[in-house]
Amino acid sequence: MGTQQTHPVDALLHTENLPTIWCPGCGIGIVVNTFIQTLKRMKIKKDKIVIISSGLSCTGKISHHLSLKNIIVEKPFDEAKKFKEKNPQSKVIVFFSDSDLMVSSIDGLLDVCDKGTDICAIYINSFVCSTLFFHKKFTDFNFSRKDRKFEPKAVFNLPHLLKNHGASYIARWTPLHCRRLSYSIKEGILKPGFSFIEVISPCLMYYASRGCEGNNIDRMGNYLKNATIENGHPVENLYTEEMEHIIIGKFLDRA
Amino acid sequence: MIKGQKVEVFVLKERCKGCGICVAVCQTEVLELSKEKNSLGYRHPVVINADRCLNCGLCEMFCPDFAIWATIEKESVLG
Repeated sequence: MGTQQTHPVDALLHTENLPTIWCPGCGIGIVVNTFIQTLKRMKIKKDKIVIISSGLSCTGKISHHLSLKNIIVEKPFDEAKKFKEKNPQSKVIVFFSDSDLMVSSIDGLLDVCDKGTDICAIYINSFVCSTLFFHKKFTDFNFSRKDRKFEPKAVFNLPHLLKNHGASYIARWTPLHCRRLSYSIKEGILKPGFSFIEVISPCLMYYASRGCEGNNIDRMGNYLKNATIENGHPVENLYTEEMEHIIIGKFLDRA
Repeated sequence: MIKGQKVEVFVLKERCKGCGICVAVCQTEVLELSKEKNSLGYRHPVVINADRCLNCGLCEMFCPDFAIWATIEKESVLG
């Protein structure tokens, strides 16, 4: 075993904040690793990348670990639009999760999508707030383990909504498809117009009490097993439910 | 990787959170979780079959804590 003390991507990280803040077995760390490895492979200059997040939930902590230009604001998409107008040369990446949409509404996302702003949005969907389909406030959630109910319902179809609002690139992967996710992040950054990449990742805090998914690796492996890659699949028929069959792939790539 | 080249696996055990993803994704069973714990109380991976490593890079890509990576040893690079 080697004794070299620097990781190949340490230059892009706040190494003093490692290990990362997320639970062991969470998919966000893998997405961040894939993102950083992609940036390194693309050889983009460090000062041309801007990470914008709301600072809410686990996804908001991504900027805590990256030594790139980070902006943390209440409404990340509004800020991304302003920043891109002022600095058209820089590549703007917005990390957000379902909690962001619950708290700061979906209007900003739809606005940048309508206007075709050149942004790459990476959405980490962990089914925590079950994006827009429960339509519940945070105070309505029951956080006690015994009484929590998981009612299977049709999840809101964000790729379909964003396609109709004029997104130019839409893809969906799980963290264990990290090579394909890496290609999608690269295409999303280089693509002019609004790019949307959804990553379906398990939340261990929420699903740990269910007892049906095994240890932390098995929970992530379940998404891998239940996923079918169908590139170009019509987004109208995308069907997601946690722990059910998931269709993943590159759905839209406008020329 | 070319036949005859040696791969060296590096582990920063103080960065590890013991999730075990690197051990699970390694197809050639190079890694194993250690019996001892690091200063944070997690069991970190150790290399048990270094000669089997193919330098596929999966452990490096999947590690959420940037704690493991593999490189080809400079001395074994041909030419």
